[in-house]
Amino acid sequence: MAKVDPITFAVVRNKLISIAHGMLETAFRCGVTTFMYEIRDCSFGLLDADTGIIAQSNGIPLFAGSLGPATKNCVDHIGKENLEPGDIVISTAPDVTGNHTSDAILFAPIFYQGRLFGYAATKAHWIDLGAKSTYPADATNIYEEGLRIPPVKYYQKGKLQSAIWEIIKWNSRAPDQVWGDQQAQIAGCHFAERQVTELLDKYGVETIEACIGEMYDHSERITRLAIEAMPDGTWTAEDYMDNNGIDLEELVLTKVTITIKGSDITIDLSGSAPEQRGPMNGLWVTTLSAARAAVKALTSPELPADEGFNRPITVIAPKGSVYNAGPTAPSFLCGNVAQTILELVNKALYPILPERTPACSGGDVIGDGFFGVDPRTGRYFGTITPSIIGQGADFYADGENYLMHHSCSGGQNIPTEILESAFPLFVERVELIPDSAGAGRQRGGLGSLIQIRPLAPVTFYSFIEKAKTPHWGIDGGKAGLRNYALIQSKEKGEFEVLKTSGVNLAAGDRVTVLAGGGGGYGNPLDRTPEEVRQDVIDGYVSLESSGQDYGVVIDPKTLNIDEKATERLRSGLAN
Amino acid sequence: MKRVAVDIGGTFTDIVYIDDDTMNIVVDKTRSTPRDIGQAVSEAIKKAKIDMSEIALFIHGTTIGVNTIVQRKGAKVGLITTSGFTDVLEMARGDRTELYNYLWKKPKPLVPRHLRLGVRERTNYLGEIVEKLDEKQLAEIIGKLKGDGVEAVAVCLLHSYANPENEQRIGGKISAVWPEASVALSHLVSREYREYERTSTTVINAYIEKAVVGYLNRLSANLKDQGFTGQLLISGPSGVLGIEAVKEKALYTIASGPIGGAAGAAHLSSLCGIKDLLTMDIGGTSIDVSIIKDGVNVERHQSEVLGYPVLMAGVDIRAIGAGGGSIARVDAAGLLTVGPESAGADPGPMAYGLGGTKPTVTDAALVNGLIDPNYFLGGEVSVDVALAKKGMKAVADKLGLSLNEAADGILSVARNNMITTIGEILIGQGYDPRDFALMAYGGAGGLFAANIAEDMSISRVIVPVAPGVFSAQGILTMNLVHTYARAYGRSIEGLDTKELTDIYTEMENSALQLLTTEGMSRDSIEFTRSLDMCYEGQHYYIETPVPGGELKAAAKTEIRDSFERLHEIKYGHRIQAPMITINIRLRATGRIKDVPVAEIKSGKDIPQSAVKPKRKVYLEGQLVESQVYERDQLLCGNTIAGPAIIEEPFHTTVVMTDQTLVVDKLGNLIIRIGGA
Repeated sequence: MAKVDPITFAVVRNKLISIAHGMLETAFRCGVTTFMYEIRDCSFGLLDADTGIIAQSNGIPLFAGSLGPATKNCVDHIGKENLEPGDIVISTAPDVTGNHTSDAILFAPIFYQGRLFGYAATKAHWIDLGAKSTYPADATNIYEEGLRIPPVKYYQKGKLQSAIWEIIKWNSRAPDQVWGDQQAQIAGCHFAERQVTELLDKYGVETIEACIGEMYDHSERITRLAIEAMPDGTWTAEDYMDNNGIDLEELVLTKVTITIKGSDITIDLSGSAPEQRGPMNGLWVTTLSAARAAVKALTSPELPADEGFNRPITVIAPKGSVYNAGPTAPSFLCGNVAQTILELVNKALYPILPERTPACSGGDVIGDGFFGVDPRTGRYFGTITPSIIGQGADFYADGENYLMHHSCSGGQNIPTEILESAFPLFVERVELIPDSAGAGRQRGGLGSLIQIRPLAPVTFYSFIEKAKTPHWGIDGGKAGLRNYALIQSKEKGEFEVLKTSGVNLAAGDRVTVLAGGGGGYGNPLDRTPEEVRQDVIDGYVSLESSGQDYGVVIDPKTLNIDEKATERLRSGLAN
Repeated sequence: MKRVAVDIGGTFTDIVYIDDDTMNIVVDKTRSTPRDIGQAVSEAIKKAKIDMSEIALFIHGTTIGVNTIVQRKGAKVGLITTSGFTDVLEMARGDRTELYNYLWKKPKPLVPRHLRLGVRERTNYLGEIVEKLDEKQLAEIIGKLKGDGVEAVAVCLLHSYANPENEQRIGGKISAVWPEASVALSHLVSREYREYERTSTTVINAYIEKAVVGYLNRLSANLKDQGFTGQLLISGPSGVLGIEAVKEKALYTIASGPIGGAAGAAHLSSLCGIKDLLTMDIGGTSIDVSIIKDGVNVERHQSEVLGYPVLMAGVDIRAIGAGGGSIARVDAAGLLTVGPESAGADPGPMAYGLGGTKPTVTDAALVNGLIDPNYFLGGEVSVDVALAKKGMKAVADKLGLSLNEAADGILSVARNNMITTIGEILIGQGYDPRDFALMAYGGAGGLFAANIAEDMSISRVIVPVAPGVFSAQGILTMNLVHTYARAYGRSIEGLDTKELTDIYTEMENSALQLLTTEGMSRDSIEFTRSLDMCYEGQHYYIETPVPGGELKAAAKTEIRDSFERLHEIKYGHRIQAPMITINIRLRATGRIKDVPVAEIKSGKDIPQSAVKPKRKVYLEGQLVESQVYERDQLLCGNTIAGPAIIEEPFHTTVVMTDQTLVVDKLGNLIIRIGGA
């Protein structure tokens, strides 16, 4: 292939990345649920003819990295030779997409001058696709988790295959909303098709392909340079997931062994727990995506992702293990499994990358929400009501308060004013939780709580993780507050919930979801008393914690530091 | 009438004086004085030798609002929210702009947590008060904020857009017991929903108010001292505003900076008969891009300043981090990038010889002969091409290119960064770049415009007269504009036309009163009503026109039809779904007498006085001999074939090979591309 000049390369690269952003923008305009336009539970990307990722939109990193492998699974199933211009392929089968059934993949093959150039692909969370409940957090097999659409043509040569739509329609609790978001996804794909065609017209297919080749090579070089700068060797880390959704008292072991050799890196998840009988099972496609995202964040966080970044990375997850479950295993919470890889990798590489690996965050996206029938309209509704975690402290600074887990870093909360207008819910509080962050020389970020009172009979679901094992600190930093939800029901009483596929609640009951904080970095006794005092003034840290955790004695009335008492207390705590 | 405009930019303060009767125009530039930005205003007036006692209209574009935030010199603000929601401001929306960056931090909230206090009260989304305001707790809160030395109080309660009663009560109470505190009530600053965005907007207003009001008072006094007795107006987000309105809502100054150019372009578009324009103001560190559709500036309803969202309607101007000072570098793996890092004015490009060590876009333009080093900023600044070449060599060596190729590469990458972002802005709003003419101004507009147009398949480029001070001239063309917005969630069927009429009438009456105090007569005032609408479930809305006067039942059909037609134009289809309204909007315009326009002399032949010595420039991959002209000597009707360079103080326009430039009767340079 002809070598492309550096200028054309830089220009085309930017343009391709901008097309991926444009796909997302286009979809936001037409999306009809909060999943799409507030939470942004979706991803868009441009793939080459071999399903390598050329460029991806902002959104959910775990989705984006899985677009390529998921599309490949579909293409392999249908047969590349059977694809035609105007086709839109769909699938919701977890072993194909790597996500749960409600995260559908849709893609359009892009043809240019009669030849397959690549694909415009998208994943987005659909509000409901007919599982035993909208969030079957206690499924024991795949058949309880909703409609599995195998890879099929949803549009053939531009024509909707209405039978497929009818099947979706008859299986969803909210078909109108599924239709609206799905059309938004398709609009995004069509946007990419038009833009890519214009680009090919302008530069010619050979130049564009040469540029894409150079993009990958460039990204690979960048990644290899970063890996080469790390010492060769093997590092391991272990952690636990709370449970598998069925056996609620049994922790699930996660383990990573990372080997760096020259400019290659291997992420080996062997030694993790076997496939589970509850829905906390990871799927290969998303495991691969998460492991790659983990390496990307540590080697080239500032650059947009493409296939080249993946080349130096080998991912191993034995079949039949919790990170690579079989096709009929329950896997509705596979996203929660995949997210653990990011922080597991940080934990393992901390000894060699102390400046880049923060302490553990709240460790979870905190999935929770409500569904039911809105008495005001008679329509089915469903929404996530995310509570958001704090981030782990890092080498340089305190952890950020209230920031989405890295695995969903483009996701947003939903404004209370929208939640209350759109759904029969009343929000009583959304606040940071004092003392929820791990103490440290650099303090962790604070987590938050959301307290909601339904105004009509509704079902509450949740799939909260990282409630049972610490949001670890680093280098003497302490752990952050755990995650959990609290239900106060007139009929059922008060109780704590982590994972539930549905608790029926009456109007006036109350749910509080607590998203914990991040771990601290460094010994809290090394934090300057003045910083601790500021934290006390701002209510991030209580007076009790300032004494107990930081050894700083503050007068409760004047909020001045008692320096002598502080010195005494600190030297006492240090011993 | 004699008018003066003073426009403050990051580097320069521009002044324009126009005498309508004699058509005497004075244009000048002085250095900005960021530490005391008012000083530059006085200096500019002095330097231009203007007799202020003769001036009827003084229009001012100021950066005081943004500066106050950048320098973190705003008031000490206390925030009162609905109890349980004090952290909304700090939480923001929970997302991060850099997806993979574990160390990314949000911008620090402008009100620290200990000054954010919640009061027990609650209004629901329908505007019903479901919990009464706790007056006793409110009194304690006010006492605490006062005790903490707070100067300004922002109040943002949940759903106050639907019913502002409790905010009004709080405002009343503070005024009664603590009159010296300034108060910003969210429903008055922005009556739209989404509590984080509204809180952020209200807090910004409270934060900058003291600085803005103080600045305006000093400015008024200063002008008065110089004998000024005319009217002082400030450029705002959609038009100019009376000084009292700006003191009332300091937030307006956030958009005071770059609007002049966009407004001037809209004015010029009507004079030239070109209705659809893409405007590009290329300066040292950034480019401001805006769109003019059907002769009108395209607006948007939300923007942001330094990462903080602002809910305020205004001309949609997007800044792109690229300009003459953008720095070029080659990364470890051989990728050439240009910007967003900028050398600014100090040290500036390497050629300035002020210690800059990184090659910039300006250096590249000098190396390739596009800018004459002896005529840089009209010859006022000396530049050293040898230093620029030194920088270029570093890039050239890494990429294995010649000096000229490397310089061309830097210009090309910079240009294409601009094109990509401009394309995203246009396409993101459903516009096709090919339907627009490109108007370029600012220090480096003409350097890139012809080439950008060619790459974007745009057929015409317009470089207005005095492009270096176009922004200042533009603010003289603006009308007085006040905009009103109020959240209004209804189904189209459930729309109560009486209620709607009442709200519009209320808005119109208050606009009328305001514009009258600003010296507008009733017959120069116009109202434009609209409703933000979408199909149920959608998030992006379309601003749909609404008829004036009393609305009858038939108006519903008219509104519905307009919405569906607009939706089809914008997105290509209609949807079988119920339609809903989101916001009510009103725009009240007070027309200021148009600035008279001067025409230049006509002539077939290019005067000898306009012809400068030819020089070698590197264009489109080769060294070519280019003609060079002095702009103010050119006549209407003069036609120049590219490659050519048109020079004037503060600006250079490049015409590519195969392009033709024509001078129009207003003195605009019109470049035609591709035989159009």
